[in-house]
Amino acid sequence: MRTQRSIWQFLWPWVIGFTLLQLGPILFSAGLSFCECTGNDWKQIHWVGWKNYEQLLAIDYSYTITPKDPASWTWLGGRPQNPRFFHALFNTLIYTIMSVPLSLTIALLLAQLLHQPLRGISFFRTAYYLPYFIGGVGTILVWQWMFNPETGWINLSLITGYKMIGQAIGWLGFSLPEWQPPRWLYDPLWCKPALALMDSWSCGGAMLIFLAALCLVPRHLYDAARLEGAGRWTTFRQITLPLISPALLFNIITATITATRTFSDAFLLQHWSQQDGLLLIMIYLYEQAFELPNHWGYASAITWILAAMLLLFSIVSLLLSRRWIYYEVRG
Amino acid sequence: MRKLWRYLLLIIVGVLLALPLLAAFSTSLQPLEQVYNPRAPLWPAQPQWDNYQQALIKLPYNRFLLNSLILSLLAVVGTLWSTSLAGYALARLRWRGRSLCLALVLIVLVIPGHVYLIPHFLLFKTLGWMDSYKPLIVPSFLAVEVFYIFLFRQFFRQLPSAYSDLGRIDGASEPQVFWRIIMPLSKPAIVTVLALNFAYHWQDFLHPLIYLQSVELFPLPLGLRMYRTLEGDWVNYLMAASLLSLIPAAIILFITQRYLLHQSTVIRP
Amino acid sequence: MRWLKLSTALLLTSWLFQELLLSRFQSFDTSTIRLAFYGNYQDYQTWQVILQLFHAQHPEIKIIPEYTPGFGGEYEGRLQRQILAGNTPDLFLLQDESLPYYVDNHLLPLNKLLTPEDLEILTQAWVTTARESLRWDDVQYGVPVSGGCLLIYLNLQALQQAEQIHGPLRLPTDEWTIEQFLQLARQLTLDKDGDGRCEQFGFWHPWWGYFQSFFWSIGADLFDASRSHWVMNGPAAEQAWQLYQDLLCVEKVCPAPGELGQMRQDIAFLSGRVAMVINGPWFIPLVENSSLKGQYRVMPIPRGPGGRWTRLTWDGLVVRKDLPEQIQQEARTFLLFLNSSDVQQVILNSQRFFPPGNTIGKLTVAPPLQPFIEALAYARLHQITPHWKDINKLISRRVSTLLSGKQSVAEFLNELANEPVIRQNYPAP
Repeated sequence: MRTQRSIWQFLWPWVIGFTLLQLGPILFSAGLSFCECTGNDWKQIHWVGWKNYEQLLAIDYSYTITPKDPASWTWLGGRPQNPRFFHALFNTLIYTIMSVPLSLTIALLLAQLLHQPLRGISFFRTAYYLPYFIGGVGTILVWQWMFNPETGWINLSLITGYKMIGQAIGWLGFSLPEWQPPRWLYDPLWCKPALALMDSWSCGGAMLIFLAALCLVPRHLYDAARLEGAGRWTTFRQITLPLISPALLFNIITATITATRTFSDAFLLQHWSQQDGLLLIMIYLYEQAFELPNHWGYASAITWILAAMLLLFSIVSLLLSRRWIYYEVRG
Repeated sequence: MRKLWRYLLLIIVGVLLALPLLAAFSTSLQPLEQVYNPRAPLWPAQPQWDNYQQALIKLPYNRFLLNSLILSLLAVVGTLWSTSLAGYALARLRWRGRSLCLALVLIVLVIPGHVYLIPHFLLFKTLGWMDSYKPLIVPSFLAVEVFYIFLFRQFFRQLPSAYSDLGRIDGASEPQVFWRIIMPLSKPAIVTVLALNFAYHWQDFLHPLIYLQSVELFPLPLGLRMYRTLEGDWVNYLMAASLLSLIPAAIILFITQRYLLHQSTVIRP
Repeated sequence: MRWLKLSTALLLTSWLFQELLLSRFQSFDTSTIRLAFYGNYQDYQTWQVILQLFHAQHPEIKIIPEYTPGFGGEYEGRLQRQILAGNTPDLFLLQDESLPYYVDNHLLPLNKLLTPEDLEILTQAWVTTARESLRWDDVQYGVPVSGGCLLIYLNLQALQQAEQIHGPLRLPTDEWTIEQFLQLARQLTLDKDGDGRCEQFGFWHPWWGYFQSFFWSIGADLFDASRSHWVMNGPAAEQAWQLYQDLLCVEKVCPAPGELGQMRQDIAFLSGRVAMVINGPWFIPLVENSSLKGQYRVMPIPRGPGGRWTRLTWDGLVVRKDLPEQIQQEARTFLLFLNSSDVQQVILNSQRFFPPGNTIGKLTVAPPLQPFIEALAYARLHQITPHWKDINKLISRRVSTLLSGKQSVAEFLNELANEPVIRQNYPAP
């Protein structure tokens, strides 16, 4: 009895928070996604059924597609009723596909590098983790300056490198063609790789999880591998990778969810010359929800489509993971 | 010798990682006419330390900094208080419905946070909380960041139950056991949550963006954005302000790294 | 102990819900008006001067400025968030093309605030375009404050560079044709070392919207007069967009998208990389304060088969819909005050815009601004529609395909007209 009573002293903040700020809003938002509610006026709300979802996802098959049309979606066999939403989805997909492998590879490499029995390694761990920890608007603005096509250090070093190669080849009697470095954030094609590169700079979170997983790999397995004469790559493939595969799965899911929900980076680095190249799904959601004329119902439908996709992704990757993941049998 | 090479590699990679910050540091010390000049030396011949002073004056930087500190610290205190309580209840107390609540926590953990964006906005607007810190702080006190509940639960479960039993025998009430015995033993978990949550709130841009409208209330992320649209793009001031904004988080990291980076038990998936 | 807990809980709850409880008994601070505006530092100073003048005349009224640095997007983002949060400024500056987005739910028509006589006096004092700019469905919503139209800036140092090769070039005195303009642009485009990369480009228009003046001069337009039908097709439209494409793809007088990197139009012009740009009076202070002072010239838009036009925009103050009764009188006073010749002179002095008054001749106009005021004679407003932002984004995106030369103008126009936004809202006549 005593326990039953005192439980409220521990649980009341969470119970209030859960009902008022989580369960309630979820139900409310789900309901709202079937309503039309424009402007600021609450009283004009009315039920529209699946209309919001239809408007977002419907594809118009009557439209004649021309292959040269930049907005055409040949593979869909028609044209989305709302091309901007599809554009946002497509951008998010491309960005996620670019950023997740890049950042996880870098995270794993850094973790391998940090997994050494060296004096003072904890300083390096902290230092490598720093970009992730201090991230945010400050680092985004710093990166924006790095990506400046004329004066950014990235392009300056690319140009210098290219010139040096040109000189080296020049001695051999060849010459390199004229070359312009990418314009990064000011180019519809390059803005997504730029964002992915920036993203992988702050991969410290994933790195730490890899590092923790690497620490758990028993040393004797490596010793055994060395005795058998396995090379570095083989050791990595046969021992390290299977043993850290749970961490890899966790990182893949987290990184995908994070990348899909990227907002502030894209919001701050938007520029007209990208021609909607950074119109990610969260940006589109923001536009529909917090820019006039705003549509609360429509925007709620977007949140649910996105949430459904993320849940689906997590479930599918968990199911698929049984094939490749290695769970240590703990005795 | 091998060790030397390893250190060298670590240092080279570290410098590569630090390049964006170095570039920003160099730009922050340039005079404006050199900033847009691609042929300017990588390191300014005469560093303009005055730029930092100017950056602080151009916009009310100290105000932004203070706002950010107030916001982040209050939110962190709220999260620590509320999530540790809930985590303890889920880990160490026996009561009916415990597994159901744990399931609810896990479900909430899976639901992406953007779902709450619109309903929270409308709720806080109805309450008249717009343009105040309440929408940014109050939820933290109500344990909405369920990941930390989970983290605390995992930590508390590992603590030997002998400690709390001892307290109970002495006749301490359950809250007394929690505050006097469990919490002092939980420094690693507390520090981890503190650091991670501080970093989150320090970086948060979207929520201040939609809830705050008055410049006097802006935290650093919103304030920094204003530097960008200042007359003529004072990139050197912008870089100075951006770098300054990173320092508090870096200090927190170096203070807490001992627990944050070595609690492999805590961060393990 | 128990009481302490209970009272703490009560206190906390009342603090949390104080706004909700107090909103019923709220009394307004009667004499303050929140005024939101945007712009660069000079615009900020201009507003400061205007407010100083106003406060000197009306010390009893207090206007609190809410300034957002920057242009368009950033400012309107903040404004829209304020509106959605129920925290709208009392008066705010709006560009004419944004008006339709606010009209329905958020603005107070001026005839509800001002007496018919006052409104009459105000509107009669403005030039016609200013009167039409912040008007929607024949209702006046805004008081225009500052405007600007587009003309062509020529860098005279770049001209000298070209004259070293081509001999003396003829510049237009008052009028010129599109053919003459093209000729000059060709001559101004220089590739001295013959490596295929131009050191100096003849002309640059970084955004298709700035090129609208040319479209109109050729006789093409986006919508018909009723703004309900899409008419950007047919021979004139093809000719207009052909010119747009040819400037880059055939004549090669414009830099390709990306050729000048991130360089902004103004920097490209000031540094001599581009000899002619199309820009508004807001460019003047920058040029006048650069090394190009006295080394540039402002020229009219060339005349074409459709006549001669230049694109004009007005920024004006609008009033929030639920302006409290208590400050309506103050708002009225301020709006009428904006019409005074003192304020108009302050705006003229900024050299970035011209004021809406039709008695501008009586004020002192700085010489650099003079050509723009003369151009008012053939300036016209861009046709405002509720879908302008979508259509602008759409065209900006499609234009890059057109400029890459992968698409013919006919295809481009055809696909444009087929875009759902256009097809559904603005069917062909």
